Amino acid sequence: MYVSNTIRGHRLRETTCPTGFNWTNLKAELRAIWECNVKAWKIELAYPISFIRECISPLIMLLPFLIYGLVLIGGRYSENLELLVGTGDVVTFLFTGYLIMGFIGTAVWAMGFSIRREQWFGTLESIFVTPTSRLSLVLGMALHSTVHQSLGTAIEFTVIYLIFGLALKIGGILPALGILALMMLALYGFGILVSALSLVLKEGWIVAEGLHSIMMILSPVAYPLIVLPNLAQQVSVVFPTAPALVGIRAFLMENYTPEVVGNIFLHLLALDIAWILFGIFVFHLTDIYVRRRGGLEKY
Amino acid sequence: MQSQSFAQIAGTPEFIPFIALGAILNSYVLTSLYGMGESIRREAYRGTLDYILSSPCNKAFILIGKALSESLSSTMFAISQLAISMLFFGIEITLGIIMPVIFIIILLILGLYGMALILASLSLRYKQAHDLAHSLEYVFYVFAPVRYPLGSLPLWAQIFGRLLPLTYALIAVRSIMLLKGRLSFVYLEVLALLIIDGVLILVGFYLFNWMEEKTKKSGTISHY
Repeated sequence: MYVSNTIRGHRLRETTCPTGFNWTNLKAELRAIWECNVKAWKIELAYPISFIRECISPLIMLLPFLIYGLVLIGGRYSENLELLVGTGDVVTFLFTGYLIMGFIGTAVWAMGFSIRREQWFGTLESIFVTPTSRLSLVLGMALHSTVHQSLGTAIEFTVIYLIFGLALKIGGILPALGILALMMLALYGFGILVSALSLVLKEGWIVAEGLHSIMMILSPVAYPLIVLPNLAQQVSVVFPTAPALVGIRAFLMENYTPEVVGNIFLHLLALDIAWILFGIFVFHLTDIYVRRRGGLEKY
Repeated sequence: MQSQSFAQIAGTPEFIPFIALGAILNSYVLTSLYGMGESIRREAYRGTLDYILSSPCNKAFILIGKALSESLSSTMFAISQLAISMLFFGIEITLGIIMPVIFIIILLILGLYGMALILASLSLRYKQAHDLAHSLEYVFYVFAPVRYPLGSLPLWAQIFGRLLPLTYALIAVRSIMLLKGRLSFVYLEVLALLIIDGVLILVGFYLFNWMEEKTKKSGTISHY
């Protein structure tokens, strides 16, 4: 199907509208995702101070917890931690934990609020009437945010490595990155769900804040999973961060004994499918609901 | 729930009440920076800043009115945190403790109002004060003894921390609530808080009025 427009006799570029699931449409959607990502970068780089601040944010968030851990134990090695997970290096344990924390923020805040932000800018309706999938907007934001977070994590790693030194297994980096990628896919599903909530709830930040806090408590970021009550440990398997953290630490840290026994890769793969399908399903339903009620532009 | 290495620096091995008190007082910092400091920016977004600035009263008092509502919500939040700390972490409250603590919190809030006035004045002129508020939050996050005692930081960071009103408020409140000291034991911290409050409020009022005049003359009040 072709859309053609003319302004004062000049014919504008003809564009095919993507309908159905085929390679051409997939390419068009990928391009839309890329353009959303480029747009987010352009806006971000227009405020260089904000950009720099956000890049050092992961480091700033980690520092107080590192200092607190060191003061509490009176050094870098904790016997209690070693009894629980086989390694007592608090700095490396916390660093690997906070590595993940930033990516939780990517899913909840960056993706979840991509739609709300367009609403603030007054551009949501214009975007929603384009023949591209609504999800492309959310995924474009996810791409931007993932790259941004990776940049912040690289800075965090460099500074912590230079100041404290990190006992990481080089050979474990590749499988750890694989786990990170699988975790990100599930978090994207989670982010799509949060963005759907912001369509209905508008000021969805309260829900997002709540979900973020729950995920943070149930993820073994600053403590091993086994210190949580049994019920919390069981609920934590529903979120990708808990198995991902256990897996990443198992590959990266010397002598680390995983708290959860099982195939982390299969577990994450199952969570990926479940969260992405659930996220898309809820997004689809809320999209229909909001447009039927005419509440797309309402604040 | 005690740490001897923590006690060597903090003076108390009870680290959970230590952090709980840190979190309670820190919530006032967050609401002041984001609530009052960004209120000017919010009015600009809503298109109501011109009307507010053309009203015949001192605009800094409008901000303080906004800050009062923020302080009220912070206090409600702090009370709930304190109740949880009393129930689960053994923090004891008596009338003899609570009165000096309230006095110190009021001193802290005054200093934070001054800081928020400075932020608001910068947002009048430079619009996106959001980054400044965030950066200031980072300073409080790392250099104020919210989670760890000031003595655990390097000397240069301790000096930096000593410039923040939250540092003195935290030292005073913890001395009273955890070490069972009297207000007279922390008179130096109270004095430091009073000085910082005076400086911040004076600078805040002056800067706000100056920036208001400057922005009005440049005709950029409604600019984003």
